[in-house]
Amino acid sequence: MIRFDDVTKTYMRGQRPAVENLDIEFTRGEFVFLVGASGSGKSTLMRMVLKEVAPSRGTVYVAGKDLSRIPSWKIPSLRRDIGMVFQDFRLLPSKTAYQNIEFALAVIGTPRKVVRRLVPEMLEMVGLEDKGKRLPHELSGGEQQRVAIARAYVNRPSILLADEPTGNLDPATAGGILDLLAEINERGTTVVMATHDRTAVDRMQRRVVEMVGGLVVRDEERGTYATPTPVSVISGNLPDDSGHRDDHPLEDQQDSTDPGDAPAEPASAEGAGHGAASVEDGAGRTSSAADVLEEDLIDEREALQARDEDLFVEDAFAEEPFVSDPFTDETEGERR
Amino acid sequence: MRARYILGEILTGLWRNIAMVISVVIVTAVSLTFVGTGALMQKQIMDMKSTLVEQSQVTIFLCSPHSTAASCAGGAATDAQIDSVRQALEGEVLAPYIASTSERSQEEALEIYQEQFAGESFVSNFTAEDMPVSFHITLENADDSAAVVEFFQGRDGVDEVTDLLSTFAPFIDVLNQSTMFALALAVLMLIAALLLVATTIRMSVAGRRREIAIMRLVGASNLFIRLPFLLEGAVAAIIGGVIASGMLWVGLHYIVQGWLAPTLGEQLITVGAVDLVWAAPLLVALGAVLSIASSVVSLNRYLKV
Repeated sequence: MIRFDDVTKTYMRGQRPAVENLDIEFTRGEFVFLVGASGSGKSTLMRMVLKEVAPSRGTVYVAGKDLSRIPSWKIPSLRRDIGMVFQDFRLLPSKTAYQNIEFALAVIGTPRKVVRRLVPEMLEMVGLEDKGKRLPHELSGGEQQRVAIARAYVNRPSILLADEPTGNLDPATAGGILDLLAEINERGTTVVMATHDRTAVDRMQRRVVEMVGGLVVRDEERGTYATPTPVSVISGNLPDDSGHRDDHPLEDQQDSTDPGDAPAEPASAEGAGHGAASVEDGAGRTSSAADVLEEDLIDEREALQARDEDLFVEDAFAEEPFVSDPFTDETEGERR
Repeated sequence: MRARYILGEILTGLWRNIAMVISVVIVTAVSLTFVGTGALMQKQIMDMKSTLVEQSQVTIFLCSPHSTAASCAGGAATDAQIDSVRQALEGEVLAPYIASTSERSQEEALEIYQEQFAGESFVSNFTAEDMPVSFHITLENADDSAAVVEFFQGRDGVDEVTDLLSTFAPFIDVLNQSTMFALALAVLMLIAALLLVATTIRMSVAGRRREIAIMRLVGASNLFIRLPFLLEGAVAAIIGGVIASGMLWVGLHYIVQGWLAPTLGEQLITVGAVDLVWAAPLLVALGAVLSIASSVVSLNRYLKV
């Protein structure tokens, strides 16, 4: 269904690749968890599947087709076969739940008759049949994510990409969302879910792919979030300065030049449950913090690159300073 | 579904950037008015030249008993003098310049004179003897009139040589200069209009970035995403073109037909409100094409796949 053939993606020349020598295949009907720290390359992987970014080297195949050979005017039809769900839902604030789902159909020219049949069907599937008339801000986080999933699935895509879909939700709600994704998977859709949600991964017992610094370090058929495998960073078995990073002198230099910029954020999710392992090794902890910094830099670079290159989904939903008031749209919409 | 959606998007887009849209409309209207003015002036020039060419362009009036020119010191032109002009016109020297000539005798001149001033009491005071013999010459090339004028001017028995084209030359000059001026202003204004369209599109894209992001994500086609923006710019430009046509109509109706034509003569001023039949669609189409071109360029910059 999705195959990466020795894929490397470097956003900026001379920088460490966001994804390096990626060789992996997700087969039809599979449910895959992508785990790894922020900036480990999970989002880049998903973007490449959508052909939002092109790999610097290697080939990506989706549904048997080499993405680099798909002309730009055919990208829309590629994307119609892929659903995407985000951590922050990305619903249109001025449209009701029903209209948000309808929008995804309307803009690809679905006849109104079909829309009238499909949208209530989807609302029912996600358990919101009575809340179709509510605006996103009148829905809870979990309900918003259900609407987003309905929007992503309404075209019956054969692939569903979910980028930390439970990241903003409480554990109980997250469980419901996971059940929904599992149901979609049972209907035959390949689901690839990037996540930091330990409970979700452990509960599902599905394939787990762990990425560190753009490399796949673990690929287990019926995996759990943490693992005894020595290469796993999120399990705390290895400090997050492992492997190939030392090969890049440029980075080390960067780390040492501006250490003051270390983010206030703690050493992120990977350290949380495994504090003991990290604290024991003082040196490991510092370098881990430095790597978080490095990863944030990557994200920043990616974002900058994105803004230059394109109008990405990410940017569109980020509140930019030149938009005087992001809520005017919303109120306008309500008035209309 | 599609048509309704796109129409709704256009209206929303226009309304959201109403201030920008108004400025696009105004700037387009003004610039297209200048373009239209230039086009109409050029049409006037062409009309005028062709009327002048149709008529005889150079006229040689021989001396009448009342002529006061130095070359007419001997009174009315003698038969010999008339004959020499006639022979010169038929001669080898002037042959390349002259397409045709016609001679008007004193009797014919009197007839025309009486016709022109019919009803005036002084008409009966004149006889054929008082009228000049004249030669009316159509040139091969209207621009060569100076040579013919030079040739006959100041000859014995020749009272006056008139050149219609050179009489109107200053007027044509003024029109030509005005056309240049109007077109230069039009170009400046059009550049401003195009930049405004580009900015409006950019703001419109920014204002709808969430929708665009979702559309791209769910696989809406490029044309579908872009069409509302393209049409938005086109609608503004078309409104501008219509307003420009309206302003031209006002100008043609009140200034040209209401004042210039009666003052300068109906057969001289040929443009009128009727010319808007071709000018107005031209302006509207020009506005739409330019704005769509500008939109395409700015969309390529701010909205990629």
